Amino acid sequence: MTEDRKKYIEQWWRKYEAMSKLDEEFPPSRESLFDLINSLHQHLLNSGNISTHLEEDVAHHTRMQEIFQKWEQVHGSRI
Amino acid sequence: MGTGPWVENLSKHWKISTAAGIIHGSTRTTIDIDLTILTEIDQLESILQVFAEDYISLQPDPLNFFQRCLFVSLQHRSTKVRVDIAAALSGFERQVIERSQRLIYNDVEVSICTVEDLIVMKLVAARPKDDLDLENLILINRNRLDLAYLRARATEFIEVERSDVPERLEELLRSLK
Repeated sequence: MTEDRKKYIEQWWRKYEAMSKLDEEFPPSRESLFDLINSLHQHLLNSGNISTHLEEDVAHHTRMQEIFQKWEQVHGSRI
Repeated sequence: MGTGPWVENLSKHWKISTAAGIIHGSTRTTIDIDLTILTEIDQLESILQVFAEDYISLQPDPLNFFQRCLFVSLQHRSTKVRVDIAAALSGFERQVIERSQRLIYNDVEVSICTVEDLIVMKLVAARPKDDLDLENLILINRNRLDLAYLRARATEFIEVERSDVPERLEELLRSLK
């Protein structure tokens, strides 16, 4: 790596280190995290790709219901 | 998502488990909401009617699907948020609802399953993303977990041919001490 390149990268490291210290001193609020999550969520919904997970989730719920029914057969009578 | 009258009507009988993950400390974002409703098999049609105005079904014959599989996938008309509704017909799910807590999430009061019940359900689900959630949930809540309850519930799954449930729990508790 060239010296110029090293200096360029070092600048970024210094910036990240300074930002980490700021985060410790002024921790981001839970509300700002919710905003970020909501924004990502909205982006995902707008992408029109929501049905991608449907098949996978149907299989998951089917499996869970089968397990709960089996649980009921074994333990249900003691409730 | 909508917080209309259906929330008030059903609030005593439902729990949200995916959102529970976020509230209990696992910050993985989610694209759907899992809703478990305390009901009886002959009430599934009326459950669907409660959602009919604001939600569309993602299954072509929702009532038939709901009666056959005991869950159904809906989508909120305006926000497009997916809500998977499960009928709590097993004693396990009914106990989870009975132990649920009323918590506030973004100004909305909801019934959320306890962190211990959420951990058991994620152990049962055992998908890679559940495993990631489990590590976060146990790490963040490790000092306030009811370990006796957690172990007792996990052990119940040995007789359901899922001995991996208590085994994985012990592994996680050991590694995340």
